[in-house]
Amino acid sequence: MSTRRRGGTAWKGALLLVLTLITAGLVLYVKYGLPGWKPTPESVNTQQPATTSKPPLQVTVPVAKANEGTIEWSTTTVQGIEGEDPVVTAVNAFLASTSIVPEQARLLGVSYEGGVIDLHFSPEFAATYGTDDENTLLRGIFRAVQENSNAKAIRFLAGEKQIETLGGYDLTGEQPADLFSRK
Amino acid sequence: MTFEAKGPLTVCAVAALAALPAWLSAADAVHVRFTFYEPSLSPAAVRIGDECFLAVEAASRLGWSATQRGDRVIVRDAAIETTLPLRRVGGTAYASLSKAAEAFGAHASWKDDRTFEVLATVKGIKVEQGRIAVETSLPVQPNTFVLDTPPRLVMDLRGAVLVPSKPPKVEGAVRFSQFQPDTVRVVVDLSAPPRLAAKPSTSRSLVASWSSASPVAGAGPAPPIRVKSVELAAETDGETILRIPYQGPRPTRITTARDGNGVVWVRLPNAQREEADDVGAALSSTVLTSASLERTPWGDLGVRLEMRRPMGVTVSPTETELVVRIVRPKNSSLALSSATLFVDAGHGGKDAGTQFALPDGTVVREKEIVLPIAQMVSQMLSGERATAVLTRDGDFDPGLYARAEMANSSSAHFFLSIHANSNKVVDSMSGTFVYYHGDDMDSKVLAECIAAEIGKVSGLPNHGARSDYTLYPNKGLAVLRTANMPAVLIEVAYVNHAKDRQLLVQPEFRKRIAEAIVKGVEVYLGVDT
Repeated sequence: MSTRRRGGTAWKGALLLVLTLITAGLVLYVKYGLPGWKPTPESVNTQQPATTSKPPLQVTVPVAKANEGTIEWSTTTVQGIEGEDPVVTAVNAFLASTSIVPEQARLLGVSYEGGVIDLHFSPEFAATYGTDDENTLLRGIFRAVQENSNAKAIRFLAGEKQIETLGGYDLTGEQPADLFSRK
Repeated sequence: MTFEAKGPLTVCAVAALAALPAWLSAADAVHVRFTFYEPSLSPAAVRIGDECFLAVEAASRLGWSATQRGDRVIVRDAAIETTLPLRRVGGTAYASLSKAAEAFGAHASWKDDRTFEVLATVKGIKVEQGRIAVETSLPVQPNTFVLDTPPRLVMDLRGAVLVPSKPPKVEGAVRFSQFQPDTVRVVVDLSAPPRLAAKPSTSRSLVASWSSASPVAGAGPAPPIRVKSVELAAETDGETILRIPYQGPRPTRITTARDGNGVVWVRLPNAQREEADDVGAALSSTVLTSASLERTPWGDLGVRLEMRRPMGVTVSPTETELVVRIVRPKNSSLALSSATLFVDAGHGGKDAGTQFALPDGTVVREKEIVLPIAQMVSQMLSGERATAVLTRDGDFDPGLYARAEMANSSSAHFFLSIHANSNKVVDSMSGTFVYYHGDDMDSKVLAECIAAEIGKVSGLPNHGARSDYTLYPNKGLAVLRTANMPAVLIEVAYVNHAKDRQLLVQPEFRKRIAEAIVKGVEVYLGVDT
């Protein structure tokens, strides 16, 4: 009887140890992920981010309409794309509508860190434009971010490097998402 | 034989005589531009002397009715009617379009020998809480929209003109100006972006309404201020102070603007002249020749400051008076020969700036257009005249910040950055903008001087000086923000506008622009006054 009792205690202790190790492993995996994994523009999170406030089905796209030299702004709503962040859908729809950027210029993906959204553009986007065009592009992109996420700041990247400028405005560092709506 | 020979000649002569009245009539036929459209008039309108005549049976094409009564014609437009003498041309009854337009409160004039233009005048503008109503003498085509930074509601009235002798009756806080030769722009400044509730369509009574915002001046029509006099309060070396006592609520939105003749206007959008006084007179001042209260070129009332040389102007309202400070801008006391100017050709190297591809495959690049202009400016200033330094003298990019840093580290006196612009829609925008940073008064004066000179020689629309905060609120353009001296960024013209582009590639045009930039600097320094 006593031998059987000692064997049962050892078996329970081993089981407890294994369960503890599995739990610790799961906690570490959730917190840090797999060792050596690092997000790249091609593998950035294009799923619905935790900071996004709107459902992915409807995406708000800025619309810039030229009227005798003045740009009039409005928005339109389009169907979101399954598995694509609404900011990506909105920015690309806006870029395609402007005819300012080269055809290949696209927002490849976004990643979120705190309240900052990183916009990972294709290299074709990172050119320089005329002052009016640069302003139109940035107003549209900032509005697309504001309409479709809760990000407080924006970083512009192409090929993992920060974009310095699209003409005359300094884009390095974090840009306040409400740049164009602040007083 | 004889009969056969004469027959064709006779027929030709008779035909020619028969066609003569029609030919004479057709020779006098003219086009009519009526407010925002060109009606197809049959029979055509004709020109006799300086007057344009409208066929009675074509009056309905203008929305009018015309009835012939003996030797007179009664023309009606809405509730107004006028009786005019009948005039027959080639058997057709005509009445004077010039006189009818005048009777209906419109503005009529010859655009050229064969085009007669009739534009509506703006009779009244009334702004109340969330609502604007505009009355015009003839129906106009409105375009109502919202702009941000700062938030404002804009109503463009196509087919209208502002006539100094017929100023509109204005109630409430509103700005208006002649935006295009045939378009009046009416602007309501708001404290928050509005949501348009109703937009007007083509009419002579236009009403738009909005929600979620109120005019800056407060709810309801703001009571006007009454300006009584313009007084010279103090003058020291480099600073002149004027006092403008007023009655009424403290003004909230006072702006200054320089017209093409070096006159500075202190615009008072909600001001009224005290009785019929001619406020202001010649002042005993070293910088001012006169200061007077007049209607501004933009349609509102303002103080006209005629300067002996370009000066910076700021206005601070107190409860009882407007205090106008007129100060000599930074580095403007220098002799040109002791000034150092950094001339910056925008972009360069891999950074081409804006580009436009022509059908033949040629690409027009901003960096290639602006370099020769900058080089010419530098050459014109160099030698004994001044010290001019180029930030780049070839096809390379010094970097966004290095350009102004070069000027800062050399303790330069001025920084001139030369660019070409582009706009979203091809051929939609033309002309020159000169940017300065934020509310930097010195740079603003320099920008105004250069813009005025370019406007005189470019043959393109001159959009004047503009703060870079209008592009990027509170931040502006990097190259202007980081320069420690009076600095401007000159957008000479639009690469994606055909007329501008044809000029930008011409060496002769570039030389004219370079000369105008140099002249603008000289005006700032008082060389040319």
